[in-house]
Amino acid sequence: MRYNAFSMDKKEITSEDEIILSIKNLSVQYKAERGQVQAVNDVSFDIHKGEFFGLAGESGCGKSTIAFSIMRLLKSSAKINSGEINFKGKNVLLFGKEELRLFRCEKASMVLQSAMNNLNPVVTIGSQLADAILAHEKVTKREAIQRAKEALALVNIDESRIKAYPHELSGGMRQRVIIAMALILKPDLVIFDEPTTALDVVVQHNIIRRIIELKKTLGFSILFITHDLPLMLEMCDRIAIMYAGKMVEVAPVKNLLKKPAHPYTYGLLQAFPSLVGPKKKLRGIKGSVPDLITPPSGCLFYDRCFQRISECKSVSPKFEKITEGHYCACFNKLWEGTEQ
Amino acid sequence: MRGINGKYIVKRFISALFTLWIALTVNFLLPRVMGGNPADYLASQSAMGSLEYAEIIKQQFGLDKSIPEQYLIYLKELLHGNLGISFTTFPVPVVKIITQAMPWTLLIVLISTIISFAIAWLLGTLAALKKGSFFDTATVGVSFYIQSTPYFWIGMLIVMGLGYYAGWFPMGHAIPPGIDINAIPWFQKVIFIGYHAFLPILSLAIVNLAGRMIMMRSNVLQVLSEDYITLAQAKGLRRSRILSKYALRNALLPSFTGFMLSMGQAVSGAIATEMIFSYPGIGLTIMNAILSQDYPVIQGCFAIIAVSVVTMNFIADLIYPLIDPRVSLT
Amino acid sequence: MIIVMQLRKNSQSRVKSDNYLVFEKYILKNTKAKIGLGIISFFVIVAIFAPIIAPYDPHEINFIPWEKPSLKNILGVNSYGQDIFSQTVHGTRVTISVGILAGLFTSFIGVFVGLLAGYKGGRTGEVLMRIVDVFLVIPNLAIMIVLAAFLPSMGIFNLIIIIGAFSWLWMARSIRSQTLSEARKEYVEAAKVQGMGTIEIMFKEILPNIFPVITANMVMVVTSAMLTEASLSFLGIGDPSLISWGQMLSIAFANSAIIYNAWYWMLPPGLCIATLGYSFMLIGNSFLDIYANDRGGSVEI
Repeated sequence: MRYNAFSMDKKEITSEDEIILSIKNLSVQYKAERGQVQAVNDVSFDIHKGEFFGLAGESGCGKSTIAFSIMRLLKSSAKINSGEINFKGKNVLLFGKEELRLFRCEKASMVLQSAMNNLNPVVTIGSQLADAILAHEKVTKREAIQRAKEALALVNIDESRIKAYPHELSGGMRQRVIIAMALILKPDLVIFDEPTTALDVVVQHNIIRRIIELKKTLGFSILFITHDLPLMLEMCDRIAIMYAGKMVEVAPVKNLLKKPAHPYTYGLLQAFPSLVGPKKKLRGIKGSVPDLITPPSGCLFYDRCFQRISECKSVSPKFEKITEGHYCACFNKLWEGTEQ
Repeated sequence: MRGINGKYIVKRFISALFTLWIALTVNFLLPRVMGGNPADYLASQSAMGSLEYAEIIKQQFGLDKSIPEQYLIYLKELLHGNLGISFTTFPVPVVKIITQAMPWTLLIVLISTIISFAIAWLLGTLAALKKGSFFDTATVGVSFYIQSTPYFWIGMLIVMGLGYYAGWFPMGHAIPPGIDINAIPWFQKVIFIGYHAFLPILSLAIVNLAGRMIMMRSNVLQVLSEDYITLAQAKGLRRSRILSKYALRNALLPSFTGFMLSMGQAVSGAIATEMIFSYPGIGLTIMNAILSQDYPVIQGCFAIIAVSVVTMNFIADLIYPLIDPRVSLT
Repeated sequence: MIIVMQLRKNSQSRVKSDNYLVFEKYILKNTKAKIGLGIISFFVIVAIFAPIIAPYDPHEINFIPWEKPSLKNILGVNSYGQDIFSQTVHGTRVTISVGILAGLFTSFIGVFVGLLAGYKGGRTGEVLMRIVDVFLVIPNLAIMIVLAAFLPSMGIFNLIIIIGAFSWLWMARSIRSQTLSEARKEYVEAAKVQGMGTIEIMFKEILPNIFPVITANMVMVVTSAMLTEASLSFLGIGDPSLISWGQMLSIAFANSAIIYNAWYWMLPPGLCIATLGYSFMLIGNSFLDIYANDRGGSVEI
């Protein structure tokens, strides 16, 4: 029995669904004091139209890096060394300056973590919203402000606050403004990077509920990044699990819950309590993440894995398809996709 | 709450007054505490013959009374705008000396401050945008070097280079010596004054430019690393808009207070420069007064400096909330 | 046996210790700092061995005044007949000692007040900063000049005190704002919970963490002290019996060196002050850069 907080129906992904985002073999490196950090290592996944796609993993596993790579907003110490990021068939990594500029916010947009200083402190929120419109469409300032007011209404902020400065709003409201900014040009894909982590639970719940409603009306796909797995299990259609820069499993939520294939996924699921149902003993995952500057050979999860076999130590497992929409990288999967 | 309200103004005003009071008290105490007692000096003067003037000063400043009484008299005289009478150029009142010198100082300092800030902002922003480039490294390196030089030395070099060697500009004074400034037509006045002010202004501008450029550059760099810049890019804004509305507007704010403060400290900022160019401003006046031990003039100048600094700070405090919406007014 | 070998192999391939890393990052791999330290060492050596390096006694009035540089007098002769090179060499001593001593004096007060104000915050912090602000308003040079003017005599000791007495204000402000952000961090909470006293926390916990900022401030204060000494000397307020670079410039100007075209008198002292000051700045600024880098880089626009 599961607590269905958002009363959602999960979307079943079929092979006929249009693919909005297709990432192939993406690898990203960061320059650190001690050397190069392989933050994202040969990651591939697809997001379909209207899909609520979750990306989970521990802190530092590379999730945010993927998000920033899609928007090409990585900090200067990071470098994409290989791979493709295909948005509706076109490789974002090959976009020129103007094409990239138009891509951002119009086709794909991003909502950053709420604790950060995301809004310009000396400009009104109305003006900041209008800027997004004015940068992409030839409208008058007045029209842009009008649309900004409508966007605020979308996120339940009274339009009288259009002339407010960011510091005059609460944390939750600021985050909703950011969401309004992300939706104002009706993009196809919205990336949420830990959008509610720094907010309290009630506000978090409200915001997420609103996001889901908006998704239903506007029809965009979502890439939702967080380390809060139970939350994702409620909201997402499919979830990808990352570990130490590698993607270890992607599965529809139903499969993930009933038949997780990767031992890490299994371990994660055991580590969270369920809100309803009988009490069960929590199990953590012993050990810690390997050093990403000098990673060991073979599977990065080897040291902590209860399913490991000799092959795992020397060779890195490939990320392969188990069944429709379900992929895993493991030599000794818990489930091979043969059962019903 | 945005905008200013009366409470804020009053608070700042009281604060300004308090600071001014402390400065003026220090000004009062200094000669008396340091051992150079005006009364003694006067006594020595009277021994040399000008009895009557020693008497007048004594009376006016109550130098024969106790220190607390002297203090009150001092404050009272200040409020009346009476800064005393100069010892060395008796009976010229200190106020007259100051009002003659002040305009010259203001001229070179104000112009050089405006020029140096403008160029500093420009160079600083460029250097920040081109961080790591040759332009950036060179500009920063040269600026740091200039900041390490004694600022009067730059003045000396300029005098030697452009004044003596090249002969392009006069090497001193505010107007050509021997000319009656009131007898010439206004445009000639302007030319003469400008001609003589050029080198001092250049000298001051170069020295101040260095530090301000570095500050501006680091402000811009700091702002560029903020998250709202990332988000502005994520919104697909044009680069020019991100720079102007999102980056520079935030980067210039701290510079604004610096600008106002520089104006306030204008008077004392030029002392050595005025010496080098024999420019008859407040700085030169103070130095000459020190050499001739003309205490009223020294104290009078210092009082004026204190007033101008406190006033500019107060004005800056009033203007700042108008431009930065984040400032809370309590 | 195998386990022991495993452990040993682990510790060899293990990362270098934290302290060593910091040292490496800030000094060994820091070109700017190395250059700065090199220049400073050069001047310090000159200062120490001044009597040996200088060919003549700097006060000796044996030469033809205004002589241009020659083999006999490498930097020429000043208006009194003294050898400029010897004066420059000896001037190193005064300038460096005043700079460093005043710098240290300033730093002690500045760091202490800054840490206290930043850590305590609240009332104490506010009051301290009010006092600092009041004195900051008064232009440094002006008050130093006025102070010096009223002092009966000016020795090197007084000079250091005067410079130090007003320079600590900037430093206190800077250290305070750094301390404010550090004081919120968890390790400070942990220390408080452990029962550590205020002074202990300030110096044992917070100070080591903002050490790069403190060092950067200190070196800049030393530069500023040297420049202030030069300025005060130039304005005739220094100790006339000392030979410092500032004094040399002051005397040069007073004796119309400009008209006499004595570039050899005016250039050396100024260049020395500038170069030495610059080397301190190099160190200080490279520290600040590294410290700032650790807290995130920026995105290309």
